[in-house]
Amino acid sequence: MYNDTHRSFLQYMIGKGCVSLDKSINIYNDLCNESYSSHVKLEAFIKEINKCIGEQSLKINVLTCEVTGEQFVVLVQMLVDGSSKLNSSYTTIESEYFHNLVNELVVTDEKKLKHIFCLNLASSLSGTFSREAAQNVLQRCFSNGYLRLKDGEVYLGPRCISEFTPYFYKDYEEYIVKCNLCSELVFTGVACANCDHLMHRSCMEKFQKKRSKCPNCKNPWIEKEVDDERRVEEESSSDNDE
Amino acid sequence: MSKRKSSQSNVWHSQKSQNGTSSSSQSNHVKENNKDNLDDCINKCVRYILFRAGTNPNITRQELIKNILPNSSKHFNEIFERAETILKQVYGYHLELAESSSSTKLFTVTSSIPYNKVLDDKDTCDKFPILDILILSHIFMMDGVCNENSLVDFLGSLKISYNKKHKLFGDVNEYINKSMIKSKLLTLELNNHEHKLYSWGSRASVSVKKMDILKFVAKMYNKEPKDWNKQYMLAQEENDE
Repeated sequence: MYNDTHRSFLQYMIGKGCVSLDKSINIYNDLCNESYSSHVKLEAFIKEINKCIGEQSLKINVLTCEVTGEQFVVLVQMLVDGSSKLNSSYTTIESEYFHNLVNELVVTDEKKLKHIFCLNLASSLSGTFSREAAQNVLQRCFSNGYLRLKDGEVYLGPRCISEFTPYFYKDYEEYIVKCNLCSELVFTGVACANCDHLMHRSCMEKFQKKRSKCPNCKNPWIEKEVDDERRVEEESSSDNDE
Repeated sequence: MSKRKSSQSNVWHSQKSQNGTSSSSQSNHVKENNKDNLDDCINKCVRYILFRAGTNPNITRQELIKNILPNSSKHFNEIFERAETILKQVYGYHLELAESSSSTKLFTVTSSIPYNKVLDDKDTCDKFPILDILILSHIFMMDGVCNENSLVDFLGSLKISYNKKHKLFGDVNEYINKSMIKSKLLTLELNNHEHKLYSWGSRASVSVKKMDILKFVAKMYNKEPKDWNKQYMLAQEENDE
């Protein structure tokens, strides 16, 4: 029975946008006066809500962050139109900065940018935008689930990937990769040393429980070491110095 | 950004012109299309209100018509009613009529779910509702109108400085005279001597229950709501409406 518990949770999600899975389970427990609920129960609860909000092109998804492996509950808009832009608490120039960032992130090979590089992007906008303002936007994006920060590098967050998928397919076709195993877009993950194809780490871990071949080229699975590549580059440049 | 195909009202118009020589199957097709368009408009209306309410919960009828049905406002009432129902049943939001005049209607979005502290992050939640309640309470207890000095003194007694930056509320002067008036929690009038007079705004009048305020005040003073006869009667009157 759809009741105030559903409505409370939904209003909470509308306000927050993106919440960690653990927090969501706690909220759900408190709302239902239960001491323990599994995330399976939460997902069933979310499904009941989704049945009702689908008409308005809204959906609550449970997403795994590719970068940190954390799980989030996110309210996603399936439709980007004039109304959804209203929800933006970002000013025009902040939005411009964000879009430039996303653009840069999608077109780079490694799908990540150094934090400092992101701050420097502030100077290439149509109006004046300080690095402090840029940092402010970045901070909000980190807590909203739009972007992620790890080891000084900025990545696309689970919410951004989820909401922008139709947009990426439309305008960035040559830059995006689909994970063979789940058919969703993948930006950060593990690559095959042989064919270079990128897959989600969590998808690959599940797959490897049964098979040890690359799902793309079918050769025995060897993970491409990103760190090794960098080490080789550093060694060759230091060799040149000598 | 990916956009949906043609705007709803364009499809309506083209269907109407085709309707001239319709066989029954064609008119059924038209009817179905019209129903789809109606549903689309209703959903568009719900989405618009949902997202717009985030920045400002006060929305005029004019604005809704302009953004949802720019070409034909004929069906607006039906669409609006259905949208209201969806907002209430699915999302728990009420659209209260805050102001009504011959030229315009102003609605305000409120939640029909009682406050649940479980959903408030102590650290990151919005603190301003506390200040709102304090100010609205003071005005209510002052018989509905108070001047700026009275407000300043009241806040001062709570160690909330009017002009110095407050650690929770920031610039209180600006919040009261700009934010609260803009969001229609307060109405500002100037009397004959150009002094400011504050009273409850239209949003406060429809979304805040006088009895709740009186109970709050009673709790603060360790008394009973009935101890304030005049306010108690006003609160009762509102409950009876």
